[in-house]
Amino acid sequence: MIEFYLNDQPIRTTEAPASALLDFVRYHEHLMGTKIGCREGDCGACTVLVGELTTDGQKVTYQSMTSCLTPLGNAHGKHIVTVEGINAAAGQLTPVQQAIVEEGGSQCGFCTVGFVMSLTGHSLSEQPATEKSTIAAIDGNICRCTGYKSLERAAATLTAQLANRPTQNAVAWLSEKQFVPAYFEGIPAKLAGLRTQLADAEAKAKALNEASFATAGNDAGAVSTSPSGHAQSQNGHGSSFPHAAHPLLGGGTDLLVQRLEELREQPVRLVFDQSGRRGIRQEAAGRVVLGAATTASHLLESELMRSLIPQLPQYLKLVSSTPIRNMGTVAGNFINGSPIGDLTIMFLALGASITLADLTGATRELALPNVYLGYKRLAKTADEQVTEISFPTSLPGDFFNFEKVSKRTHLDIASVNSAAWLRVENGIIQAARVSAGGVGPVPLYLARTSDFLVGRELSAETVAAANEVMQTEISPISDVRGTVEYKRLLLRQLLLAHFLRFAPEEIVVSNLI
Amino acid sequence: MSLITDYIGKPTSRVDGPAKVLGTAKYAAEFNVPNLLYGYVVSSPIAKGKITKIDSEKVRALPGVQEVFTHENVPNYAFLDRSYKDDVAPGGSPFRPLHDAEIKYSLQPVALIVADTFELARYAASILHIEYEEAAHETELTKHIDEAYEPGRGKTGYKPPKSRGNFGRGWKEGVAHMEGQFSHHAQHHNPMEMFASTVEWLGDKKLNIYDKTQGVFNSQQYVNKVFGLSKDQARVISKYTGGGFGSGLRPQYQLFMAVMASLQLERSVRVSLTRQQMFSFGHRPETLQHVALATAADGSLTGMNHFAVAETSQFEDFTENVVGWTGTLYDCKNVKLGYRLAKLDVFSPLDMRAPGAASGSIALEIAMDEMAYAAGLDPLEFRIRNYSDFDQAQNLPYSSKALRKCYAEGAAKFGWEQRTPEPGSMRDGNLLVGWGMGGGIWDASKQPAVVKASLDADGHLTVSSGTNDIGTGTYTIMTQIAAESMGLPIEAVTFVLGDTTLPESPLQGGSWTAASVGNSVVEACNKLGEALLKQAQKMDHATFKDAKIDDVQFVNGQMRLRTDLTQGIVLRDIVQASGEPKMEAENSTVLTKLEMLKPPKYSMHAHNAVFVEVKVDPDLMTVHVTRVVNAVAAGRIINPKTARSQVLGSVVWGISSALMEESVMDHRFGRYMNHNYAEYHVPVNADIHDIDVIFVNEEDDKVNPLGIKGIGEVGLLGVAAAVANAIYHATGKRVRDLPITIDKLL
Repeated sequence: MIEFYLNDQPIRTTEAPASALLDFVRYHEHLMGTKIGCREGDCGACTVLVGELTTDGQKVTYQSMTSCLTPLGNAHGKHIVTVEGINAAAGQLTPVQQAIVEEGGSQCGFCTVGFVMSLTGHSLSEQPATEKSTIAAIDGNICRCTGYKSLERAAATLTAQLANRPTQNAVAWLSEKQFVPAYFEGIPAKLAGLRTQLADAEAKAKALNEASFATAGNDAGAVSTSPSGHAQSQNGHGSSFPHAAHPLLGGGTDLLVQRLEELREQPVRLVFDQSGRRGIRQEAAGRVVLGAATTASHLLESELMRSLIPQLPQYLKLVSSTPIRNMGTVAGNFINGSPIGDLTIMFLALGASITLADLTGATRELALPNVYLGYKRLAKTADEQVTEISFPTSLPGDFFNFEKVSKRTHLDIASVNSAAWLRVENGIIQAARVSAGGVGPVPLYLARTSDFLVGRELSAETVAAANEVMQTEISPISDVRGTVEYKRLLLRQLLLAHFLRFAPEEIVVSNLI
Repeated sequence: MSLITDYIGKPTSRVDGPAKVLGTAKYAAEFNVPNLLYGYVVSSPIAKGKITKIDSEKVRALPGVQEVFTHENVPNYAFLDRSYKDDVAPGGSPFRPLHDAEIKYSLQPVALIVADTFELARYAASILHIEYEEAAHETELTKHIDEAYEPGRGKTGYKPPKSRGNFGRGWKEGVAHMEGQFSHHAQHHNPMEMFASTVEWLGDKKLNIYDKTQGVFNSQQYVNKVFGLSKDQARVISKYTGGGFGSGLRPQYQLFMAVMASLQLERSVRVSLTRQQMFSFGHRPETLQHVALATAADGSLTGMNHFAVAETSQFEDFTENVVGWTGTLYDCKNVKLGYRLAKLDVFSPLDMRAPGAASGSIALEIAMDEMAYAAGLDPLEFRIRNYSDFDQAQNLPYSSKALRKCYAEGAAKFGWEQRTPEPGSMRDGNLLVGWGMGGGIWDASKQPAVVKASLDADGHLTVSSGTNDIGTGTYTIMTQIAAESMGLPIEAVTFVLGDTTLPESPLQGGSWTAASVGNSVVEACNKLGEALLKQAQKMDHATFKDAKIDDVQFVNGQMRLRTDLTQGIVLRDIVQASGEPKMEAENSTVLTKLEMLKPPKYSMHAHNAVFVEVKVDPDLMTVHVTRVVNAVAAGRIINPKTARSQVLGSVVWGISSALMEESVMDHRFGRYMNHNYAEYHVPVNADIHDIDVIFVNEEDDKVNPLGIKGIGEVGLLGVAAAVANAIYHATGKRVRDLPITIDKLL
């Protein structure tokens, strides 16, 4: 049973947890304001807000997510907001909607609701609204008609209006200004009630489950609120309690693109909200530890991470888009095994390891480079799951840089990406880690290149020679993102870019090309 | 004196804006019809061959699956090819969905699964077992240039290019020359909304069809002919269309599928395509071009040669005007033009925003830049020296042509005179700065359109016509025109469109809707005005007793005497006095149709000039388009707000086609590799920087009574070439193969 609030309505459903939230909203609740543009998180037309009760139960924080990739199960205990849930009575427009209409920010209108939701989510954010942050809020929304300029003007209007938003009790102010309807003020209490109720139910179900692998989905309390609630019975899902043999499902950003139909047919283990899978902490042993379900947005929000990698916001800006960063997990990025995963490439250069736990709870640690055996082949058994990720804390003065080449700024898979970490003393490289994506069957830790750099002078000659080594260490193939030659060229450029950023004085590129 | 009901030319917010931001605007897949069945299309994984076996047993056994339609069980509908031809079908034999076992292209629809829920239909599609026998396919245009042929006059609007003079002589006369090969890949429209049809079964083969289309009448006549249904049986409705850009000009196969399934099952059925399947029909064709230009010592063009080869399918000759514009845009006696097609195992290409011109202008406008450099002239000065004051291609004077103003105002706004011509000579810190320009020309055309104007006793005017609004602003500008014509406040006017029960209107395309429907709105309102005057004269109202229609004006909710503006009568009162609930009038299209038969007296075109700044990292060769000024001469601008949006969007299309957009064919499999939004790149907000739009003043009383030329396409022209030219100016690298990616610059 999945329970949550959809706009101002409580929902209880036995639909498959791996269903797309989008399909639930459109086909079961018949709320057609949320559009389908691509079903792979690349256009933002289906953006909804997902509100989560804070640990103290006092308030709800909202994030934008693409509902096409949000597993319905991840809505459990949350407040899901579609455009129907922010519309005021009697066709009145919210300030977000008003600004878009007045500035001509809607043409064919099909992407419009996605923009409305992203900007409404931004107005609910706790951070002060700046011109930059408002524009950044629509980084996951594609528009094929307007050329974005009118939407930027609408964003500017909003930024000005949000300047007066108080830091405390912002929802009351937003409700008074009609950004959101008044029922938003009551949502924290409702979610708190749901939390208590769900905790009780969970405890009971656990007891029951431990007693016998009894069915949990077919009890008398199982109801679907869907007027056409039909799909849940035919596939047998919901009739067995998910256990260790069932697939793990995190933020859904990958599995719901590739395996939605298949996952809907079976129970899944939802890890997105699992306590103990989140949080970023500094360990005494000089390591930073992240929970496996840490999202890219969590990295960005973490003061610890930002203090260790001051340029992190610039790097992560190139990683997908706000809604996808709110959903995709770091461990998901690693375990997907994509040769081009942005976070994987960053963490390879950070020297990360992962902790794997098996069914018995026994754990082992594996250095990230050793996870990858071949294209999408991992040194991990099917029943092992990543619980934590850790990496050594850098020292002040250490260099770290991430570079990505993609055709567009957001929502794009890299053609080639690369990260580098260096420790330099008196002009001599003491330690180095270089990684590269899109140039081999796996995300590559460039061990030989890294080793080559150690003990050498930080100079143009060293970079040129390192490139020679690097070129022997990679094996790109020609594909939709470029030819072999192109990718080799790009990676050379990225290596140069790392060193240009580390030591712009010492490295003169024109001498290298 | 400006009157409060004068709306034409004033920036006006979209009347359909509120419905769109609220999410209440309903698109084809959003009509909640009771007892609806859902169809999911299965696509062919091979590009050529035939289906040898379909095993649907497992799928049929799923509870809730209603039917699996394939060529094996779809009944034979209309026999003749012409029954499958829509309004804009090119010559040849149109594709018939689920007709036989033959596979003609990759992603061809091979089955439709209809089930009780969308999720079940999708799941069933994922397990349907089909076996194929593959045949060798041909998808490489470069390998088939030698077989290319000159197409006949297959498609409406296609004009075989006409050469003039003697290019060979002109080439020899020239003292400076350029010659180059240009190419771009296929592009797909990718409107945000995927194609979908919701067919509501009303019993007895009577259907309401909610279709994603740019022309409801085009969809209707297709359904009528293919399925033998009467107009009453097939009502097509399209109130909102989530983008078209040409993709909705032809009925797409989901319409056939949904109607077929509805008729077979006697149920309501919806079929929606996926983003991947949006690559399974028409596209802007891959085109290879050759341009050669020569100039005399004074920089005047002595010869122009423009030749293009484009792909088409095995079954239709898709034609567009790629090279014809070259003979019009610049002044030159010796022009040689050629256009050929080569057949490949792909689906037939389809008009895509500024079809033909967008492709042709890339080659021509890069070539003009190259020629300017070869002749030692500034690219703007070079174009001005070769300005065409008379259309040599049609041998006609222009109805109006304010391109000179576009050059002047655009250059002034951009600061073009600050440009130093030497490539690589301008810098912003470490970045290379490049300034380039280009321009274009597009037809100003008009089609017959019927409009009905109806004023009710409350004084509310409803104006209707079965046209479409694919996001262009049709709802809004027609409301403005009608409000001003009848002198009513805009709130008292509603424009209704997108329904085959409304008066007949052409499909939305070719930038002709504003002129076609707009002038008809005026005509219908004038007729209504005449009826109102007659009715007023019947009333005991001495003021209008002897008045003719030209003696009165409609303004501020009243009919007034021009000679004495204090004398007026409220329109609502006239309707009330008539004793009828409303008074109505419809325009006639007889004159428009007759006019279209006569040879034209003028060459009627919109023009633009576009100026682009790029900044290029000299080490990494990353390109950013930092500034664009697009000056457009398109006659009268009804609504600067919606018109500006059209041009802003066009500029982004131009930047996109210069730097990002391409459908990459994997020739081993004969399919597009990047058939999704992740890999088919269209820009995001952060990719787009300053864009300035200028509408130069252009009055034209010859093109049509309202002086409208249309704005949906012209703004795209020259943009991609200007980007390429700016990149040359920044880097000294001339790239003639678009999109321009980093590898082509390093």
